[in-house]
Amino acid sequence: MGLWVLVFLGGLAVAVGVQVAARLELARRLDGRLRGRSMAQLAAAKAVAVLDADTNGWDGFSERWAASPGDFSNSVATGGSYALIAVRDVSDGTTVTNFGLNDESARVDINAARTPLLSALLQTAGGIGAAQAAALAAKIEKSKTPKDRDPEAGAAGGAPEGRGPFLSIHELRLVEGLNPALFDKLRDVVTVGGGSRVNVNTAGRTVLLSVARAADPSGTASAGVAGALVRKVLKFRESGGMFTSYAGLGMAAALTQREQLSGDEAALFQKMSAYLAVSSDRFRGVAWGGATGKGGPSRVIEFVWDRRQRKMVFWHED
Amino acid sequence: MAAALVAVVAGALLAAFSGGVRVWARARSWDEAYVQALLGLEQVERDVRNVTVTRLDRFDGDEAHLAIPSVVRIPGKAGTEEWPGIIRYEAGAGTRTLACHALPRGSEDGASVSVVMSAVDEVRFAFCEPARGSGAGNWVSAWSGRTNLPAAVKVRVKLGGSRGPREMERILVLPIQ
Repeated sequence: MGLWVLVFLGGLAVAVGVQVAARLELARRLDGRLRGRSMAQLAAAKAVAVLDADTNGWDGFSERWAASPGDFSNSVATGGSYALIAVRDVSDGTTVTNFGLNDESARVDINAARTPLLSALLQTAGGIGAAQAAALAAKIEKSKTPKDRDPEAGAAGGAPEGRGPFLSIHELRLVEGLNPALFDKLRDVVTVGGGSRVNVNTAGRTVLLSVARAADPSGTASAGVAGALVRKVLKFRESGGMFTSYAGLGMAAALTQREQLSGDEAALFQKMSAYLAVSSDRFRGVAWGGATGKGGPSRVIEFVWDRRQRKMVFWHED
Repeated sequence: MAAALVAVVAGALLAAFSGGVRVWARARSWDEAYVQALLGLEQVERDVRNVTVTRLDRFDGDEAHLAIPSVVRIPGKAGTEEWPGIIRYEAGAGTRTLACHALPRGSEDGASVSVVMSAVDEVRFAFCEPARGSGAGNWVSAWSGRTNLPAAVKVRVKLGGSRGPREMERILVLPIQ
């Protein structure tokens, strides 16, 4: 009898242990998530402080906000760690990962960009043909034209959309013809708040090639010329070079100090300068936060800080 | 003597047995509703913080419901698809639950609903106006705006359940303004 009772109690103890262990694990994970989020928020606050300290008139990868392991990778005494990660294109065709931020003017602003640049981006990033890209760019334009300024609104065949400027890139999903696969190709190269010009100091390969295509619609320069020029811009930046003036001649002069440009490349760069800038108002960060010894996945917060208005304009946490 | 020994051993075993049953019962009912509510609040907080400013939908809420413009993820033909849409929280009528409705625009088939809290006696939302000047913002019982968002959302939950009534309150600050 005593033995049976002991066996029963042993089974009971195992059952209780399993129940309690499962709940303790749940509490541990919840604690880890909360602490991970705090760490990621700390990284975002650090990014804002670093951006506040940047007061010059240009923004490029040689600056503290762009790459600073000391600022953007840290463990703190309260038992957590954080990192801000930015991925960038380099001249050999690959990418590098830095502890830092990216700026929004490295992307094409779907509100402010001229239609030729939108069309060129749809071709370069989306991989669609020129005619389809032009039609889609026109639909995007139409979608952001308020109805009262759209001459076709209300007429037969007129655009039913026309809601004003895009406030989120996901609104692109509702433009007819912009399917999920195409949106996925565009999502990392478009923004709703980058400005009408692209920052030549930070834009990636795809965006710079799109600018080259938009600046040379007749295709006077070959694709090879555009590719070589973009490689030279990326190489110039990797060697610490930074464009500090967006006047076309100033940009070309800065580039030729470090890179040899052919006549075609120089002419193309001159045309591209109408689409290029050297600074940005908005900066995007991807912050990872984790709790030391808590296990479970890190928390990730993606945010966009508007330096001029001093406010967060985008925030997404997992 | 032997009888007394048997009685002591039997008494000890009985005490251990009843103690074990009590611990087991406690472990089984270990604030199931409370833990679920904690996880539910964590989900509500994440969705409130992830609010999207969009020209398509309004941030809309009153004491009984909360509709947040957001990006809704749904299964698509080639993996997960993201659509602009609404995440809506409201108490399930007559079910004592807090339900989350994910309503993607442009893909009505992708709408879904899930229960994030059960044993809920009451859920109330309140909205904090952004502070003007040095003064703190007021709490109001309803909000509707496309680009003007509240500074924070207060969620108050009253739980029933086997452990008696419990009340939880969380103030969720919106990072974007």
